[in-house]
Amino acid sequence: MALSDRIQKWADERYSLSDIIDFAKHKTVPVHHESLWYYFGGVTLFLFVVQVVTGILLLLYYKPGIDTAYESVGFILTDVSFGWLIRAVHSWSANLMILFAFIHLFSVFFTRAYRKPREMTWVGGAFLLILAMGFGFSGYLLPWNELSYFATKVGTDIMGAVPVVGEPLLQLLRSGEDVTGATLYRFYGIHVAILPGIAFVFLGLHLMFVQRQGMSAPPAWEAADPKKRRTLQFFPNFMLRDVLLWLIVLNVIAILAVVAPFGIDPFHWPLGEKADPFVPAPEGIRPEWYFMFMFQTLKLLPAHIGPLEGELVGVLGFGLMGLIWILTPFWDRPRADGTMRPWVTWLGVLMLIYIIGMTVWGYLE
Amino acid sequence: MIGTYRRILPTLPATLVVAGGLLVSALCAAAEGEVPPEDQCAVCHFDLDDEAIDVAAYFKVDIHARAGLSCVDCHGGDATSDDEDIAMSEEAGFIGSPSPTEHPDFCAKCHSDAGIMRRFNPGLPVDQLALYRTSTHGRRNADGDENVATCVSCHSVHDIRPASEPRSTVHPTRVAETCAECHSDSDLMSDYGLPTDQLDDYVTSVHWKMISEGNDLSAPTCNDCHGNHGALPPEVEYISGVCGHCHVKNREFFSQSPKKEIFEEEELPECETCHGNHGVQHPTGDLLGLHDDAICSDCHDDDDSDESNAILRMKASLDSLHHAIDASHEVLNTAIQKGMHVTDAEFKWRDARQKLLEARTAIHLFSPEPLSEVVGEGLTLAAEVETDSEGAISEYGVRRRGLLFSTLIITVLAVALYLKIRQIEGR
Repeated sequence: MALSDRIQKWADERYSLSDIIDFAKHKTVPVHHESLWYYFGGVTLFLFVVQVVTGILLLLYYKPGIDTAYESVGFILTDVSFGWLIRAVHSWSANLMILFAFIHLFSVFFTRAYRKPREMTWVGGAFLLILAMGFGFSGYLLPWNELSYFATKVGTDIMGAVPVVGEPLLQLLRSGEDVTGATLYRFYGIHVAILPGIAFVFLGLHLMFVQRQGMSAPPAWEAADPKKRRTLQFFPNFMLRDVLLWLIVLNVIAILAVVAPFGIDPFHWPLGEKADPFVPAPEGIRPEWYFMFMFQTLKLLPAHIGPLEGELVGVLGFGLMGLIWILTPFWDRPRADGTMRPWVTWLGVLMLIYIIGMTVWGYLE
Repeated sequence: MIGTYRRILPTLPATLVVAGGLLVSALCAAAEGEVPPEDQCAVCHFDLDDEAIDVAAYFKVDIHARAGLSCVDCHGGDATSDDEDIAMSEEAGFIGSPSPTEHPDFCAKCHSDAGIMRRFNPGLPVDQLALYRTSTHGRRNADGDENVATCVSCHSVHDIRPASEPRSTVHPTRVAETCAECHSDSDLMSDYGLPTDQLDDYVTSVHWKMISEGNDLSAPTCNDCHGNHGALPPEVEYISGVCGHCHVKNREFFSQSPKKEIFEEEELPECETCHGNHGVQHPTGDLLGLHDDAICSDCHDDDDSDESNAILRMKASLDSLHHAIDASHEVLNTAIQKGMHVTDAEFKWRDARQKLLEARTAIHLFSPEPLSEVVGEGLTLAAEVETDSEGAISEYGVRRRGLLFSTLIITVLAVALYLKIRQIEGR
């Protein structure tokens, strides 16, 4: 018996691996005109892994604290071997991960892949996107530079506008009244421990649901004769295609990290000046691109809308929209004939136009 | 009882709106300095179309009104009487409008009284009148000249604001304009034989650029050199003291230099001889040397003397640092444009720039040796900047080659994978 067979036998006796291998052998992926969108979830997962790996490497040298954070990032950039590359890959990968997460979310929305029985896969995925944005927000402050300091100040201020929970949430996030060294420690803890912990739970559930229920397919594909349905073996066919795409994305990240290690204006993250709470905020303070549509909306709102403050209305509006969005599978149910309502698609298109439009507007201002 | 509530309840919103409106209008009126109803001065003078006694303006902005003072506190009289014969009678202590020669003492009644001023602004000096009397304005005023500046000429009359307010006539951004009201008036100045081009010169100066473009309110305007209440034209012997108030090192070096004695003998104003006065320009390396535009050439010939050789050595020394800093900046910028993190080199470049400033200051020692020392330090820094930046550019090249190598490997892997997929799916 070959060594590999002996190892397999040894593991199988203890962990029943043959069940898993059997499952993988028989797992298939539907093939149809919307199959392309399946790959975006995988790319997002790959970028998350890149984030974890590069994040752990950065952790080896990063030192939180107002006297050390900025200096340690500078040290990583100049003195640590390939430190510049790790930081550039971490930053590029973070932005691409959120971009691919958005694409994945909208592709699932437009293909109605959230419909029964995959409601909770959608809800978990939406939470994962919120977590990814939380990773971005908390990580932004860690270099403790001028831009990140004031962007965090503005961002947490907006959070403070939420009624009832806003003020306690603001205090909790900032660890006090203002953005200080204590906030930096808190954001560090959130970024490297709390959010990863929560994200692994949600990600585990999300992947488990996908594996248990399989990929969603268009109703026409599901309604077809099982013998006439086109499928693809998950292992190795689909997996190899996934890996091929991951390699391409890795190549793109490597090129971006070398050619533009600090991003491309206006999507850039220069280290710049160290944060100084006593100097006035520099001009052009803005959040990262995935918060821009909300930031721009809040900027455009008048100071007062009826008896309420404009900012409060904006924050409440986004909260409500987010909730409706997360609960989509529970209000967008198929009609009696099994078809989906077209106005929901138009709602998604409008939302997409709004997000892109407001983001572009925000950057043009 | 419940019935009463039911009757009142529908009118409650309207009542609240009316009450709120009254409260807001009362607050707004108070905020804008509404004339107190018992002040009969205002009752009449509000209706007068007389800009000199613009009571409405007074109650809106004047610092005295903000401090709670009213007309009678300066002009005397009885503000409670609506009969002008009583309100503005001698018996009521009415002084009326003082003449220009009376202005200084009129204002000094309070402003020279530490006891009174302590109640309103304990930090404000109380020596304005004493200083004023030492000034040319004050001396002429005491001699009965009604055309010279008095308190109101600079501070205005009924709309006096604190100097810290940008709209004040004595705010740093407006002082030059205020002085020029008189000093640019050729008819007025002809009686005193004074030039009227000071403002035209001043607005071309580096000092005005610092104020107007750089928002640097510490940059000098008229009163910083001439004094304000004790305004005097700086005499030749203390002009370096005026400039040296800010340019401390330049003054110190000049005093240590051999030029000090020569300038005193020749009765030349120290800083002004080379830099001018109102129109002082940003100094460049071109001021130094023996070429036509150089200031040194005004007094020195290119005659191979020790002095001219020293000037040329200093010029060469300063120029070398200037060129080295420019060259290192170019290399530094190239490294930055390539996306390299060169913070240390940037700090060193700033230090090199600082050395250039120090070298320019050291010129006031009028000796090549101490200048060479500072220039040497600057050259070392500029060389380090260049070395660091070139290292970063070289590192960029290494990164590009590394990228090419890794991209090649990933691409080969991807192509191999693609072929494998084709092979599997082709079975």
